[in-house]
Amino acid sequence: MAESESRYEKPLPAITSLNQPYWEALKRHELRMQRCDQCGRIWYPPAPLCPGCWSRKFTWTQLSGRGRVSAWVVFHQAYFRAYEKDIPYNVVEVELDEGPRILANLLDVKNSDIHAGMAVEVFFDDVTDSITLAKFKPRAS
Amino acid sequence: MREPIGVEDHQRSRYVCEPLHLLDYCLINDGAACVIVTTAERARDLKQAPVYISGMQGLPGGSEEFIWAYPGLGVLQQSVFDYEAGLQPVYRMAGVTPKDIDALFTYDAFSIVAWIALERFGFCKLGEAASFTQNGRIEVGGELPMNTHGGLLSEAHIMGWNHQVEIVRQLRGQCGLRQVKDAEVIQWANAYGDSIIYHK
Repeated sequence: MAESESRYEKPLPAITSLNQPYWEALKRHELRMQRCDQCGRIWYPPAPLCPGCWSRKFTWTQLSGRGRVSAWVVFHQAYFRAYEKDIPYNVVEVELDEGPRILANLLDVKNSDIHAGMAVEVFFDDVTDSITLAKFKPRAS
Repeated sequence: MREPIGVEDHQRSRYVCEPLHLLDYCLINDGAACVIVTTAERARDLKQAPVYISGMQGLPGGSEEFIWAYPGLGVLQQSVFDYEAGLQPVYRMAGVTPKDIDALFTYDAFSIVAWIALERFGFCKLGEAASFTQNGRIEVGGELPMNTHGGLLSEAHIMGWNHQVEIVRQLRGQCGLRQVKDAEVIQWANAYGDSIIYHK
């Protein structure tokens, strides 16, 4: 459920001209990343050129939102006060089916059940009226 | 750290970012280290016995490199790097192989980075560092003593300069109880890829 900016106390992303299409897509509940017009590589986080072939021509492309857990940790220390009630909380690295890797929280799972290769799909979390975060939930593999 | 730390102490210390316990993290401290580098010819006349640098390499670049691990492991990386462990330029320059190294010193801001260095430089195969480091192999008296001064985890975080100082002391035979017997060739090798090989 969306909270107003003033009630949501966790850090929010800094929107720039470079990453704005990513955040605008999440707001529409779409996961979009840059796809190189020259070599086809899809990359994340947003960058001004393709890390594979250095082309500056790319298209913001909608992804399946599906992937697998490639690494994970569980935070037991709250580095920001707003996270105190969440610890221990997980941070997973998801390798998306299209190739890029993304860091996110994995919801609806016991931390001790997280494992490498776990099949997951994106969940769009509308944390404020203007910001939606990409999180993940387990899916049947 | 001034008291011995055992496996049980480590396991009992609290989690910070699981799977890392508090004792997997380096110390936070002030400190300084000093090394004097000169030509072999000039070093000959100095009071202390010289230690020689026989090979070195810097941090490799490239789209699959990632500064906290080996290539291919970062968020931005998307492929598995094809390793040539044991064939890095530092060994060619020094004319040695990992088997010739009497002691290994590595950046250990977190305990796991030491494993990555072992795998990256060919002391063991990928994924085998955890078992490789068991049963005293990396202790003084073991097959490959590592960070005999305690490293960043236990002596001080001086960015690895304290490791260089300890390497020099080891090769001069000045380390007392923690002296690596007959140490002649010692390597600094970092998980991120930079390395120096020193010899007596």
